Amino acid sequence: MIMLLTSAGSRGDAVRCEELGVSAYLMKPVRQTELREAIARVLGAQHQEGAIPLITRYALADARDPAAYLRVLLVEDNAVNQRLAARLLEKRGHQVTVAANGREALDSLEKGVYDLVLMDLQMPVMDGFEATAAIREKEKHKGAHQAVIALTAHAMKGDRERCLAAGMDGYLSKPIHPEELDDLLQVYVARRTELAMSSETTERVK
Amino acid sequence: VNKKGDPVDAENSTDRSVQHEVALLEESMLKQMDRPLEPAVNFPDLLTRVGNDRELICELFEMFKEEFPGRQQSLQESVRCAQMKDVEKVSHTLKGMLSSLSVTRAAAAAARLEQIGRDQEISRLGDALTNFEYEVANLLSELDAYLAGAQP
Repeated sequence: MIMLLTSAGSRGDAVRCEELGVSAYLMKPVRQTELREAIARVLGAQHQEGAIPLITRYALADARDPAAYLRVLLVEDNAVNQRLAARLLEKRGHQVTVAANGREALDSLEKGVYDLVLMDLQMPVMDGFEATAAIREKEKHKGAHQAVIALTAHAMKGDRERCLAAGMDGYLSKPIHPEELDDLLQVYVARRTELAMSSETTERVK
Repeated sequence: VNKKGDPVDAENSTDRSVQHEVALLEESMLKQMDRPLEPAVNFPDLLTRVGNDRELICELFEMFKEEFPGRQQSLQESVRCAQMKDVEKVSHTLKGMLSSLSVTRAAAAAARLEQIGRDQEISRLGDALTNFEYEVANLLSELDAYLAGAQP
């Protein structure tokens, strides 16, 4: 059994790996959970008959529990930052919807359900503070709480306090660092999994 | 004031002191401009942050190349007109884009411009813009070189 770990992936690698009989192909840095899952699947596949598909980051994501994915609303006006943040989230298996300003974010929240909102602060049309205030105002009638995390390059003293005072639940500074993003997402994945389990239990009792 | 307490000499002395300070500042700026250009992009940092996804880096560089000239022009325009609120806003956006791509020194230069805009310090605008432009001078060609090297 051969598992290939690479730090420089390029197009066509997966096909070449399959041709060479490699069992798994992962991109470094590999997260601990990802490596554990890959090893488990490679070992499990030993007893399988027939062609065994190559295990990649994407194959692992497809096989994961849907409750481990978050529906994330990314509110960011800059195209470069939008793409980067969206890709980092998608690579971790989360489902991302992008809004370019606070107004678009409010519209998206009217139409869909999100586990987490990542909110930039300085944006045209409606900034992150105003949008969060509108979200909290609506919640006074609805009752539910929408998790909103500030996503900002301000990085100034007192920013965290300012975000919390504005009704946000946390703060993630830009540029996004993978470890900080993972720590944050882990909290909300745990909440979602817990919610899914409790609603499953309620269903069974019924 | 000289030893005799002559007021004319006092004025000359102040002028000399200011001239000396300006000369020192110019010397330090020239030294900075003369130093060999280091890469604008901190690649080790960028690769770590994107999980070694070189395809994503190429995609981001292409997007940046499209966005950057317009933003830089807006910055130059708002500095020329001393529109401090606009200087603050555009510099903030540039800072965010540049730091996302690990263009760290230029991002710091943009952060300085943002602060100057916020503090309404018009007298410091010119030097800060010069510094920013120095830091981004070779950026686009550096991105082009990376993109050319990344072609299969």
